Amino acid sequence: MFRFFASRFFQSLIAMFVIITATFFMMKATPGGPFDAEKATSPEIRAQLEAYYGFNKPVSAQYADYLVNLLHGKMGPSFKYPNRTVNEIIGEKLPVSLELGSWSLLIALVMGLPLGVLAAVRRNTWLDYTASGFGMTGLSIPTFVVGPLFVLIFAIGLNWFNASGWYTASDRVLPSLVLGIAYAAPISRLTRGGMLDILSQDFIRTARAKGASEWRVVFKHALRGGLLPVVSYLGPAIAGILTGSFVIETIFQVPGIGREFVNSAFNRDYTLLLGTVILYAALIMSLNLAADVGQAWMNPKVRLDS
Amino acid sequence: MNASAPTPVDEPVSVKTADKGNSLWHDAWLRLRKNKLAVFGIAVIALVSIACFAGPFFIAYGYEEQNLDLRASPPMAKVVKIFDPTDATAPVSWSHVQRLREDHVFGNATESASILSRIENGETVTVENRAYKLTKERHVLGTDVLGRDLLVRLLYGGRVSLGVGMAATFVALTIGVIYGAIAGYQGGKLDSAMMRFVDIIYSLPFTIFVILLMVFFGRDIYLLFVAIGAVEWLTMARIVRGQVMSIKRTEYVEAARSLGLSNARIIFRHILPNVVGPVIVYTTLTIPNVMLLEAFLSFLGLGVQPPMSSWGWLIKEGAEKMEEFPWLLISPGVVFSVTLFSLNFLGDGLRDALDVRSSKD
Repeated sequence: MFRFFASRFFQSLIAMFVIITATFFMMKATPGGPFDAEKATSPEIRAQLEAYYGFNKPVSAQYADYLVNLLHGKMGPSFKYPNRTVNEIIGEKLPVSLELGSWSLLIALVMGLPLGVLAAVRRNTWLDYTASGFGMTGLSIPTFVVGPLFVLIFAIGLNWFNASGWYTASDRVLPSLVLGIAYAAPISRLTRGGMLDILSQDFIRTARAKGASEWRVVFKHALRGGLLPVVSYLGPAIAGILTGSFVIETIFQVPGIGREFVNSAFNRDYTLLLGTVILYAALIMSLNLAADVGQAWMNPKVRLDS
Repeated sequence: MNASAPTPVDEPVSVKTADKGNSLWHDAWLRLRKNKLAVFGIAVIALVSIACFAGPFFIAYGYEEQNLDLRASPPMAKVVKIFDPTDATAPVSWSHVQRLREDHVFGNATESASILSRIENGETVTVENRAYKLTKERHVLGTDVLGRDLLVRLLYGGRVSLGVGMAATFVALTIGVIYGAIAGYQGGKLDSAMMRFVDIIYSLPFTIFVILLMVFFGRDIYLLFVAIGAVEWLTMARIVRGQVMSIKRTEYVEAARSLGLSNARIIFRHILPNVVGPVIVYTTLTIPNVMLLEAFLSFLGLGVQPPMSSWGWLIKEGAEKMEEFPWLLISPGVVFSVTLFSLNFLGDGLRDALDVRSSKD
């Protein structure tokens, strides 16, 4: 167990290093920079700016500086928001995205798991078809269609919610719902598949034979094994909910980290861009690792030695 | 077929097929045909593809052709030509019945209604030095905010979306199959090194990398599908590797090796044909994923360059204007979703038909 954890952690560190390096040099290699504003800056000011941000040094030295600062936990000043550091911006925007992500995950699980279990237990009934239809719908209609559609129906048509913004509690509903439904669909499909696999096994027959109630068979015996595929999916799903939220944040004008990421890419705000990329990568990798460990904990058959 | 006795030339075809044994593919096709949803999927995909590739030839408008007078007309709006009564050949401007009514061009309501009904009956009506005549021109799905025909943009957009979907999937397929086959066939240290590499890349946030690529190196459509293809090959490589590893232990591969065939020949000629099933299934399921990714990038403004369109781009435009002009969102959204539905149905159906124990992906 420890060996597995250590080797995966080491692997993640390598991947992290690759990401930072690739992003850094990709940014340096591209034409255009953060100071190419519409207003031409005078050469003196430009030189000052470049000296302030260390752009006058060779690229390798800038790279080394960045890595050293990063090890100290500092991601440098933002280029587009004067007087603000990347750490501050992330500290302000990340909680918003985390809140959105948590609500969405809750919705995804609350909708997806029961649907999947019901579909498996009542296989080939209208319940199953409805649940499968929902799964397919969620898989095929992307969030950037569902999002505007929901705004059209619930905000503009019925006037129940605001079309965009992140101020009141009701502003949380639509974005969380759209993002949650997108992940409820695959979760219900995976739950159904996992439960069907388990319910056809001998130990379930044994449980039924000894007279256990259907309720007990499903929840006590089948659920743990049946949810395995879901657990291994949760890592990528949470990562997807957190990183994929930038479409939702754009549609609903949510001041989260996703919008900051997209904007920083367009603005060539290099430090902020690198900061968000590192943040995303760290989140995704630690969640994947957590999912693997969780899977091993639930299923002794998964060996953690590779 | 060649093994059977020589058949007379004029023998009916049906006899020949009756002699043939049922191949895996024939069986699979029979099973697939029973799956109504999969057949529906095939039909829709065929229809959409034909419409996208042939349709624009039958529509009089170009995808970049603007008519600002007719901007944001609703679907099937009745187009009215407005011209100088003395010179009917040179239209001054265009409008449609609905807009003439809403803008109260013809004064008060009763007067306006009678004039409009005369126009709708095909009469040429002259009001204040302007002649109005109904034309046969119709924009079936309406026009966008620049007065471009939405149907033709939808069809051209479909070419891009389907094209990117297929091209990127092909890139993923090629890399994934070759990579997976080599790793699986060679095994040992090479295999673990290659698969460890796949593991590491797997853990990278690739959507983010594709976005960075598009931002930094411009919105180049070729780069787009290379970038997407480079992301999507990993699962393919894993599937192919697993299959190849189990097949390489079979006796016929042993036999091929004892004949002294080269590794490349054994892999490509003897092993890969037996991996086709899972590969086809996964390919079918990759296409909708790629199309989603393309649409997602276009939605963020990183896809194709205007005036070219893609389904993602149209959805983006529609979403921005949906309050006033909902049809701009609805038809691209519906067409896109239905196509993805069909591809997913077909993929699921193929999986059942070929009975593949596919990966969880």
